[in-house]
Amino acid sequence: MPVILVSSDAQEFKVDKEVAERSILIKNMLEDVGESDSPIPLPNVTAAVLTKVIEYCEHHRNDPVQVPDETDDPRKRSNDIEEWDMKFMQVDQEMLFEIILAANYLDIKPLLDVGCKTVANIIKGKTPEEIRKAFNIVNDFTPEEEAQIKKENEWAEDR
Amino acid sequence: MAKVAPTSLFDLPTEIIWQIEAHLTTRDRTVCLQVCKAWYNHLIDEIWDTLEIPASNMEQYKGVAAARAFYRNLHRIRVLKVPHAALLYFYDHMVNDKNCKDGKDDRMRKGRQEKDGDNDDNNNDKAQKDHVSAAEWSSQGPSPLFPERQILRLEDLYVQFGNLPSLSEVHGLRPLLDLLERSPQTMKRFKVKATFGCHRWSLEDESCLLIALPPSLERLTLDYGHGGWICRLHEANATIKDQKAAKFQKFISELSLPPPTARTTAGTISTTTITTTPLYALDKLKTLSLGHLRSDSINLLFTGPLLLSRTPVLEELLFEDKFSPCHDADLSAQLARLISKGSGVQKGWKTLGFEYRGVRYAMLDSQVVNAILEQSATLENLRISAPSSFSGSAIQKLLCSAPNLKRLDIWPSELRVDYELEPYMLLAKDITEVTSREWVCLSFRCMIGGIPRLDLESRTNGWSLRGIEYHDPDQYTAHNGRFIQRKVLGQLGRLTNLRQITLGLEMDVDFGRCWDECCYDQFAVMSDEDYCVEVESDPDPGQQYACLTLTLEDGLDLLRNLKSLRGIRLEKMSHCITDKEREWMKSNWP
Repeated sequence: MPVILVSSDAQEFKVDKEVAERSILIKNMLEDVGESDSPIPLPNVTAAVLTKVIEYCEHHRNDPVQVPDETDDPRKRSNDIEEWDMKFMQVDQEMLFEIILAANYLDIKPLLDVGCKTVANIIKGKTPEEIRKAFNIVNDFTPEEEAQIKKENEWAEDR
Repeated sequence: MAKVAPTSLFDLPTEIIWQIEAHLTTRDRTVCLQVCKAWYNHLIDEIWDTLEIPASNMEQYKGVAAARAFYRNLHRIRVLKVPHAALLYFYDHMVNDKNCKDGKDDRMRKGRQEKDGDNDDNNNDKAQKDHVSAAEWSSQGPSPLFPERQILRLEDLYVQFGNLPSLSEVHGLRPLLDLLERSPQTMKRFKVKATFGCHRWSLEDESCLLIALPPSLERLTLDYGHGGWICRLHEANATIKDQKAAKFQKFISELSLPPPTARTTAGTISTTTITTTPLYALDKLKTLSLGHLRSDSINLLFTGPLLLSRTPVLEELLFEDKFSPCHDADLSAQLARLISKGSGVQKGWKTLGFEYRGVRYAMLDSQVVNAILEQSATLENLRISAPSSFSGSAIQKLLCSAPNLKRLDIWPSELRVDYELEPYMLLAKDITEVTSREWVCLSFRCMIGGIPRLDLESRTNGWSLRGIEYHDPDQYTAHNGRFIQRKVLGQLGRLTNLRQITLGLEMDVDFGRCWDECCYDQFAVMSDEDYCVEVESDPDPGQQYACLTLTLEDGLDLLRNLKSLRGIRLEKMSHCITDKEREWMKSNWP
């Protein structure tokens, strides 16, 4: 049975229940409400973002439910983004952040994970200047301050 | 309506930023520091939260830059694992630095001391200052380095003393004492480890460390290292030994420490005339863990005011050596004294753990065992995994006299395989001998052995069963055997929290030993499938001698109160469990 989701800008999306339930938020809502065909309002998600999120959920509709594993060291698995996800995440930064926010709100753990990994990968291996460029950040350090910070913290780098 | 779309990384909620950071290496984070002030402020505390300096690569920490960075960020560090030599390098650099720069600091300190005379200082500052003075007095080096009376947030401190030569002999333990003194509210765990070839670790040093322990401390670990390089009181040459001992006795007596109750009044001592040390009561210290013990170290702990009399809630004593401790004649006696806390007026121990592996001699001799038994009123947790004088009767005695005992683990030694019955195995005859006493403890895990198996004996036609030499066979009339079975089961039946009973061998069957292991585990989660009785076919009946039989005639009914029992494991046992017993188990156990 399809579920109707309503974005913040009042657009309706008809998706399979199985797809919608990738979101733990919606899954819990549906369980609470029971059988009902009234639309589910999602006031925190715009149509553009919701389209992307639904695309992700459609693609991952058959994935096994992720078992949360706290002991897993995130640093060790940060690079393993699936190829499809990688392509999916090739969006402008505004959209990337919005997808992350929506994934957080809708409680779609794997999507949130992929989003965070994508941001982390942008940062990785770059120089401070490159990072500023990537995220459009203004350098508010004086050159002396920057040199000082570099000097003080670099010996801790190799840990 | 929708929120304003996030355009910058830091518009995201903090918890998401944490998640992103979790994917970054320390190196990447260090780079991020230099991006902009917002990122710096966000990350700097976290980067310095935990600092581990490996002892293997000291070269890179010798520079002045490292020293400056260390001291500038010291207040951010929560977990610090550092070789003592690195602390010395840092300190040395900073002292040199300072001496070159100015004498301004000295004046500032003087000014502050005068100000301390006023009453507007809060108590903590006051106490801390007294404390610092005490350490200065202990002649460990020049005045504290810090430009201001900085409070650190160190929680875990792990210092390794190695054989690396130090730049400065002058400073001694000063850098380390600084760290201890400046974390009076946060420090929870402190661990000192002396590794090979550490010569500079004197008894005086150790006393200074004990004096400087911060009052917030919860766990103290002293590992004296192995290798016997630390020649202290027990040296080969008796004369030197005597001289050293005398010198140390003098040192201790000169400390002339006030009793801990005097501490409240100690705050009024004038700053200029401090000659004695007001000591903090370590009223949060619960755990004392000792490694590679030496008798003179225990002696030291006892030197009342230094530690034991300052620790009203100390309740856990652990020995966690991987190798056998350095043996000397005094050790057992000292250990027994430590266990009885010297005076006996103190609160008793709740947890005693002796976890040695590969120990070849019995360090835990009867003195120690008696000292442990004396603690039975408070003892909740006892773990012994070493050859000891803990005999069956001692275990039985403990089980009868320790009302709070929650957990008793007595593990067989891996080395003593030649014993047919472990000396520290609880024998059925011990249970039955003390006829008038019943177990008061709640649970235990240890072996019970020497239980006659009448059912097997009859089936094997008097075949000579191994282990039988421990018991006169004539003794085993049917009546007597049943009596012992019922007695053991009766005691087990009182352990209403028992989760699991294991019958039979867990080790190699060739040793010809049998025991029942009763395991209590409050947290064990067992599914319904675990509730089963498995019977393996046709093992050597000789190994099944002396086990509980679990027949109704022999007293299975006495176990009817074990409502939380979840499993019975039979290890290589054949049992005469009939439908009658199965029915009984089904109807009596949930």
